[in-house]
Amino acid sequence: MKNKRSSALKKTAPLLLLAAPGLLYFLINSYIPMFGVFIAFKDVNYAKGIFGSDWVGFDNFQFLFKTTDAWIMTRNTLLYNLAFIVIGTICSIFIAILMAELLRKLYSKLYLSGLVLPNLISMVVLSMLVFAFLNADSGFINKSILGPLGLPEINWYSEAKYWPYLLVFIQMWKTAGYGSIVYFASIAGIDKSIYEAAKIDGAGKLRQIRTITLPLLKPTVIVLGLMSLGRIFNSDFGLFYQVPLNAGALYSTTQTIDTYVYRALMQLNDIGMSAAAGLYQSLVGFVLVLVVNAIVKRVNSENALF
Amino acid sequence: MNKKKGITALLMSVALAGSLLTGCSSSNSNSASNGDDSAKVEEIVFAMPSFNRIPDDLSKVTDAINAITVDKIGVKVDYRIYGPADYAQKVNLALQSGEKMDVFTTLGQFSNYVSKNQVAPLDELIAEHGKEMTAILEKDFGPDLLKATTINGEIYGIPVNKGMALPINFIYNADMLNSAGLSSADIESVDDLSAVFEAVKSAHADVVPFGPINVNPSDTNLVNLLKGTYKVDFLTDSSGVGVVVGDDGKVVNFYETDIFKDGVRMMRDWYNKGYLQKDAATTTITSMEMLSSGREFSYLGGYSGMEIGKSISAQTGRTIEAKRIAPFYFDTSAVNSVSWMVSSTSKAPEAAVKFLNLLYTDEKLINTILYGVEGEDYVKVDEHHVKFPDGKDANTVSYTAMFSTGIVGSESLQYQFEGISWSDIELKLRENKETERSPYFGFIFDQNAVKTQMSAVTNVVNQYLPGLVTGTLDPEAIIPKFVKALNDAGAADIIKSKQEQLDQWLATQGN
Amino acid sequence: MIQTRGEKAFVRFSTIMMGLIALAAFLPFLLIVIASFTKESSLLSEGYSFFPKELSLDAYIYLKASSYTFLRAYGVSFFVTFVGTAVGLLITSMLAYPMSRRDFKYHNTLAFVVFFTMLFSGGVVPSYIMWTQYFHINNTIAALIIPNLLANGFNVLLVRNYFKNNVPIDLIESAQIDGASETRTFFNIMLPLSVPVLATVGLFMGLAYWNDWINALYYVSKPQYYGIQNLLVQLMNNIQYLNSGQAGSAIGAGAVDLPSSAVRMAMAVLGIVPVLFVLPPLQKYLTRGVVIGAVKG
Repeated sequence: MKNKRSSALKKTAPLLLLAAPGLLYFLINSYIPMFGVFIAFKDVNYAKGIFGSDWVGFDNFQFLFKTTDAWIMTRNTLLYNLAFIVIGTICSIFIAILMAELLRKLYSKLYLSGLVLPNLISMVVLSMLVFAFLNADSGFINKSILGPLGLPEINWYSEAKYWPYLLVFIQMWKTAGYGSIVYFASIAGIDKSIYEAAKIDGAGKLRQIRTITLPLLKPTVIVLGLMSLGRIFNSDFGLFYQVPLNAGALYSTTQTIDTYVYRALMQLNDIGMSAAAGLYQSLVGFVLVLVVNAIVKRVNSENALF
Repeated sequence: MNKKKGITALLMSVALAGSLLTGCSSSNSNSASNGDDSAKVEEIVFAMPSFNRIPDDLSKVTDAINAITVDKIGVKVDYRIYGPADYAQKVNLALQSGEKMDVFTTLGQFSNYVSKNQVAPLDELIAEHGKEMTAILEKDFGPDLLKATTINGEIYGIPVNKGMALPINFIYNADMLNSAGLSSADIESVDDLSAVFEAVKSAHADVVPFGPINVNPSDTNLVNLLKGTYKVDFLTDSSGVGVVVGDDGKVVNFYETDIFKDGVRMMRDWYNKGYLQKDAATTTITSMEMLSSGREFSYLGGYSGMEIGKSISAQTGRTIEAKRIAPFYFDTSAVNSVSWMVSSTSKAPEAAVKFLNLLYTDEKLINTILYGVEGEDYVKVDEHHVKFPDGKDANTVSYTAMFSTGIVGSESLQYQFEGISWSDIELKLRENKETERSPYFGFIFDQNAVKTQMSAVTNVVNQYLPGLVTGTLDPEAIIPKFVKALNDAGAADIIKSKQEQLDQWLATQGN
Repeated sequence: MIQTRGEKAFVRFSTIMMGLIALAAFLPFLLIVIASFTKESSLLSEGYSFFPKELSLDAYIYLKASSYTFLRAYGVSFFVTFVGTAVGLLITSMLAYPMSRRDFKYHNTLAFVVFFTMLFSGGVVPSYIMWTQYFHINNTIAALIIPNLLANGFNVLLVRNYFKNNVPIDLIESAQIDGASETRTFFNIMLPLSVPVLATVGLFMGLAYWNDWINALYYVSKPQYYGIQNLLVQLMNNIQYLNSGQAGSAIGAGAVDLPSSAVRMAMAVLGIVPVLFVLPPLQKYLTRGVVIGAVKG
């Protein structure tokens, strides 16, 4: 018995030692500050100090629900995130497969820059670029495309109905290439002899992709998918605030939980209420991931996140 | 394999170097803060916003400041300087985390700091250590200045002492006006503007006659124009949901008043006639940029004094003139929006107030803070004016915070840059006293009871107001929706709470 | 290697598609570069254009004259990016390795512990208190490297996934039967076989460090520790702040000389261009797996 335990210790100890620096970092950087969530239940008063402030239960959460926008912002956040996860995964895998095909080409090095470049452009600059394309008076689309084609000009920043497509498109433009790098690395790691064998069996390119590449990418897709599910109540503030230029007419399709919280607390500047919003977003994501992970685990325990 | 080992070894050594570096630099900063051993002198942290480049090395200026303060009041100042966008963030982090932060300013958030108890009441300390300061505030503004920073009978802040009346100016390109066959005499009030825009538009087809002053969220300054013209007091929160018009003491929703409706109808009319850009509500280009490129004819802005035309001309390289078309109306937030306060967690509130006192009354101190070390960063031209040393400019001197003149201390003691007329400063101070004050001047609304409603209402205002004041939305269709959304968001609760607080406040005013 | 007709067609299709995608990525960037060289007045009257009427260097002259020390900021950025990525990569992969080992008792517990950090955070204030009052890293170069960026759950799980799925377990087992310690297995077998994912995660970390300005905003107030993004973001934020209603005319900042649209574009260019030089060589590491796969087979 004792022997068995010590041999198990011998086995785990070196591995724990390797993990130690990283775990220590997460403990300090992430777990210790997490005690701060209690601020979400406090009416912060600095004379009493953060710890001495009064407990107010769920009062700080009220502003998230006591608004007619509650439904709109929740719906928008969810639908955009679902669209980003599904369309983004498809686009990224598509690009990764193409990239893998062109590995040996001389100009393939340029492609990597091409994939990363949109991600380097900050949202503020991107919003200026989008404005250059869409503005009503001198925008590229109205002036150089719709005008010459004889189509009526569109006042983009006051027509909410176009923005779901615009935002999905912009998000894909910005992130699909960057996201494809992960898949590309996975494809690069696939044993080439598998493809050779399939080729000898007479499998064409498309069949190789379908029967070898895609199944081997499945674990990566599931892990990335689960990780994005955890953030399904969060949204990129820059994309939903800066890019639509904070235009009121577009709120029905651009308002997300994050932009609402920002706009609502601009004046109040209340850390209790912003902590409450963050906690709410995290909790929803957390529950969702636990559920989906449990399902994945039942189907194939290998692919589960934990 | 060998090469792999090389990379690993490299990673390790870099990691090591990184940790060494951390270790030694942090011990450096420790010894620096512990280095001071003079026991009698109290030390305070003083944080300043600067619109100029943040200088690399503050030690010379800090020494120059301390040479004055240690000698005169026995206070050693730890001088911090932050950019305007970082300022609130840095100060708030320090306050929230309990870091040492004694003297700081609000950039428009006065009542928030008070309602969260982040700032200390100063009555007794001012009475003891701030007599010279109260005297100069009274001389430059009038006896009631500190009312704007008084809540429940306690003074929580000292407003910056400067020309605070900001009458609405019509800022325009004089060359365009003249070539349209008009002159400045044709602009007397807002009612003349339609005709002016029409003339300019027909003379310069590709010019935008009228632009917004701010972008994102856009603001044509219509609200300020209406506030000044019709004496509207916003009662310290900028949402506009609870305001008093004139002196009837009745809190109403500004967006339901005819004043607002007529105002946005005028904007809509201008918009329909093509005086505003189609995307005025969302443009990312400011009027200043548009003016200097010759694409825009005019905008509305609140400016004190009479020299603004000159300084915008210099900045844009065009002939810009300004014409006042509406008066200013002093409500509380007009005065307390830039106030200096002492943190409620300060260990040395007395020293902080002594320092504030000196800040408002000592010519040498305030000008060291603004312009740096005399002879190195600036030279004096005459009694009131300075310039850069020969061969230097704002970017090459080692220190200047010259753009912060409107943020700190007393303007009457500040040096001006060469070329700015001193009589304009005197005019500004005179107007401080002559400008009409709201009867509710001094009332400060405590938002705490209606936090949830305030957050919802702020969102609604954000959604509708920019489109309305730039004319892009049709007021007839939108205002009813806007008002309904405000009511759904709890506007009535805010108005009720404000009315109660206002009635209470009026009762304590004792007359 | 002989290619069938179908394969050739597929390569052609890939070439064209990737060409289009790369074009879509480069053109807007080109527009930014051209705008930064466009004369301000023609930028405002004609809008952004690939063929502007008047070119000018004004924006860059303005930035040069602003006397912000760009060279030093580049130095800070490169140093922080290099050190941060190197240390972070080491920590990340060391943590990912035990998590990838199915025979390790706590592999799922570790995964959960790591994943949890991706969802919940205590907010800025608790972190700030901890880093400044207990670790005293404010106003040191460490403040730019350590908080938040050194390792994150996303990257750890990514590496774990690659270890788990792309490195055959038999290789590890046979090495350990030969008497190799865990540390040696990790450094000599796991890492060399995982170059593509290390390059990927290294790239992600490097970009995160290069683009970061939050740490400096919170923890640093001395300009000598400002990286290039801080300089740019600070300039940009100040412009935005002064243009927004917040600053208002109350502050009377009417006299502040604000950089124009062209300057903002020039600032974006300055932040992006150095990265473009680093990227192409990285391609080699990203595709290293192909070579190793061949050796193994």
